[in-house]
Amino acid sequence: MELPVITYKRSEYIETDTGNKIHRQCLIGGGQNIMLGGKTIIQPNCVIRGDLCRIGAGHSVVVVGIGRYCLLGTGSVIRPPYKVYRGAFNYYPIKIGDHVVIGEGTIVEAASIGSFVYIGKNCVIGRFAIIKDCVRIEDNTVIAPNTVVSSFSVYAGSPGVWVDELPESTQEVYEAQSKDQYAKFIARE
Amino acid sequence: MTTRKLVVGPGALVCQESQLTGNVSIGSGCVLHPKSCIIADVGPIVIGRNNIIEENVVIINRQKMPLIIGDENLFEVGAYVEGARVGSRNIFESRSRVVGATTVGNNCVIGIGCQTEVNETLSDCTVIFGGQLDRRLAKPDLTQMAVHARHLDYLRATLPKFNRMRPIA
Repeated sequence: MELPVITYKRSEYIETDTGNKIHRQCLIGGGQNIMLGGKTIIQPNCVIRGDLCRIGAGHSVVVVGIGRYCLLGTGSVIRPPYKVYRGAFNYYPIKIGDHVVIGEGTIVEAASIGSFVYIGKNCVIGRFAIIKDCVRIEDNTVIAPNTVVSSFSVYAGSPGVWVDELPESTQEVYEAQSKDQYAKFIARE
Repeated sequence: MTTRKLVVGPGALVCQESQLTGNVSIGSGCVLHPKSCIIADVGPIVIGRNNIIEENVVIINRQKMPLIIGDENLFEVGAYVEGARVGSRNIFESRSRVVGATTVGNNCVIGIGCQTEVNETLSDCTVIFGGQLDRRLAKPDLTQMAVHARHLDYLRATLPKFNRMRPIA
């Protein structure tokens, strides 16, 4: 599938040395706790909550770790999950792998998301869900808290259940797509 | 942004990026995350004590009557509450919707992406869940209140470190 070239005004996005493109209208809380792997695109009105960090974990902990070639769609929310563990309330870090697409309006409170994952629009990924590599989550899916989504599966529905499996070529396909997407996201003068 | 008749109780944390319009009163000990949105353009909104209101939550009053919200409610990311009255100790999970002139009792849970009907009255301990909007009655969960209290303690300690807070007059 051929992706269209998307152009944006250079003044609308901040580009970092490693090629991350972050829209200025995003809400980034606790920037020092967020790690972007590079070449990640963050679209307008995203919310990334790096400020909800673990108490007692020392300084400069990575609360939100996002890999390379990711795309966070318009209005998506990435926030760390919380739980009470041994009587203490804490938020815990969230890790997102490489080549991950998160659709528009999706809310992610997972514990970890693997690489080569596609999450559709308006999904909710529950607290402490674990999504393994090479997974597709269809639009409007609700992944219940603490769910483990295994590799090469397609989930849909509310609550999200397994509906299909992905071909072995998924890794190459998603990798090529995300690189293509980044290459075609070009600044207009 | 108009801040006419904004009343904030002592000990409440209201982030600078939150949007408050119209006649809003926020009780003591409430925590409003950035990007939360409370719109009282028509009638006033009165929020009780110790509520947590997360990002992208919209609480809106479209009627002349005041929208009264009780104590210790949790509004998770993207919840939308219209309603006429909300009790205490309810949980509005992510992207849940309370629409019309609905009255919500106490200890209710509106599940992820679930919606109430227009102009209904939810009795105490109602749980709405799943894609088919199933309902059942639950026993009030006492551990939830302990979690909520600790959640508040955590947010009061952490939020002011990273976010700009609205000065409380």
